[in-house]
Amino acid sequence: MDRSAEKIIRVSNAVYKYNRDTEDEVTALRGISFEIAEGEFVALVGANGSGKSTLARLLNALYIPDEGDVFVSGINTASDKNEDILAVRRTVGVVFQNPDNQMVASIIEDDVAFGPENLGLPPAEIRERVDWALECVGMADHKKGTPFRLSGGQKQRIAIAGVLAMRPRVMVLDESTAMLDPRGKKEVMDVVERIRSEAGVTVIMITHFPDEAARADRVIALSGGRVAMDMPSSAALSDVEALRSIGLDAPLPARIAYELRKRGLSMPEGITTPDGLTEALCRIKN
Amino acid sequence: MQNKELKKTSSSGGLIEIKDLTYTYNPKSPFETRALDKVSLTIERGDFFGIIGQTGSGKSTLISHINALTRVQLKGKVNDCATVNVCGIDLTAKKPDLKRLREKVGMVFQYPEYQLFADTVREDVAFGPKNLGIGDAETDERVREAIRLVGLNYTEISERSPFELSGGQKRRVAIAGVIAMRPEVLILDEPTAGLDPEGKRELLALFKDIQLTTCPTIVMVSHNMDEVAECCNKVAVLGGGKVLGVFAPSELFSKRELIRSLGLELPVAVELASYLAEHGIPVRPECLTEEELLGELLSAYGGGR
Repeated sequence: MDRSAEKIIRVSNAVYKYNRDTEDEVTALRGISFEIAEGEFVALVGANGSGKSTLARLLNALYIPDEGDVFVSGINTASDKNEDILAVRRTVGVVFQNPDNQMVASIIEDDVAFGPENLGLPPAEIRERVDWALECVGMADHKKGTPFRLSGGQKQRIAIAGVLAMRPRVMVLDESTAMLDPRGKKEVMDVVERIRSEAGVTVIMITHFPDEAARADRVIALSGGRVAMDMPSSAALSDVEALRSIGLDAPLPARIAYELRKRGLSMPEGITTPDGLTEALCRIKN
Repeated sequence: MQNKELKKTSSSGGLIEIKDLTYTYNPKSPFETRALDKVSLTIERGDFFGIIGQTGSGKSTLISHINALTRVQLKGKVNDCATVNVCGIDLTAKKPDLKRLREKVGMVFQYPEYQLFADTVREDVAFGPKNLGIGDAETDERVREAIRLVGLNYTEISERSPFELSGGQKRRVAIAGVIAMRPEVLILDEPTAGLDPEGKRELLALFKDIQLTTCPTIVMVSHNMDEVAECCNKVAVLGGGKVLGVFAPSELFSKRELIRSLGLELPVAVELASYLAEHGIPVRPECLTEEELLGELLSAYGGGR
């Protein structure tokens, strides 16, 4: 059990069923295992219905696995002690898809303060955390404004600040860019990278977009409630066939390299970026 | 290609004709915002018409005028010279025939699966045609056809609850509910948002099929430029409530500065082709799709078979 203390997240043979023991029972997760170390940036990918969002809800004890265990910083999320569940939720913060559903106050700084206030922190510390969180997401200038007139990307950054102000060690983003336009997506991805590098937060990002997954160090791919791939992101994202077989797309440079290779051109494995493709093509020419 | 043929046979004048349309939210209040500013557009029968622009550029306000969910503002004088004619119905009239309009214009909202409500898929899809006053036998026929058109199996799915389906299936059921009304124009607001790549591909193939078989004119709002490049024959670019231009996709995506200045992206194929071209790889930077780019690379490097 010493090992579990090292890892911030440990999921072991987790099974989760919706409508358990009824005729509508659906098994969403069929025995999932992986570990995530503090400071990692993991992309969790998978087709619709593969179990990604269910897994996200297991990581902060919104759901408890029917079989197997989920440990957060060594604490089993199935614990019946209230303080354990609180500790889990303090450790793992979740940002959801629709920013409009995550706003609770009519002034931005009040919205961000909602979480730390609920932690029962002294006012001076709340003030400090709110300012810090808004600074992190680049929204400090808007703190007296109202969230309802912001763009989608700005709203989502406020939602992230609200989670950040609770100083979680792990942040789970459940398709948090899905409803945003390209500019909003970029804003959110830049913020995610900043909180990871500057605040040292472990990031687990659920996404359909290969370019977003490419920013992570590691990709865990789910298919039919099981882990189909778990490897460094460059290896995962260059495996066009494996991704296709679970309903996902590799990034375009990887797909092009794959097709060229299939037609007899010499292309090395592992190409995922425009840079890599250029280099391989230049080699053919010479 | 079919689009062009269809266009030739169509009569002159657009199926949807909008001229000098202005719309202001919260008029005469501190929050007054001009969402549309003298917008003019012509959409012809047979068009797969794309509308792009940043959040807040007026896209949603514009399409909600087309099926009169947002009514042309007649107070004041801003729209005195405006034209909004959709399938022959004048929407600047005081009391336009909205029932007829909504028979002709089908609207698929963003995340349409949130609007499913009935106990079974069959009842959900039948809701629209029934409301149009169509008899049971014909409604039944339309429901079967619509479910088949969206790529679902009627016998397998018709008596199931829509809520126990997967996200992609739910969306198809919601779209079937609109198609069952047999509209002449289908308006799609971000139709593939939130779907996985496979789901996106299937849905786009479905829209192309629907265009050929039942509903010749499609208007699509999208942030996904790959989709726009693949499906649309014309694209209107909106910015700050104005139409900045209507282009063919190949023309549009060669206007890099315009696209970037609007906070939009280029299709990934265009992006990659230009990167390769800049780095001395012999491809045209204006390849719009993956197939085009691959074809160019194969002919340049002599790959094949």
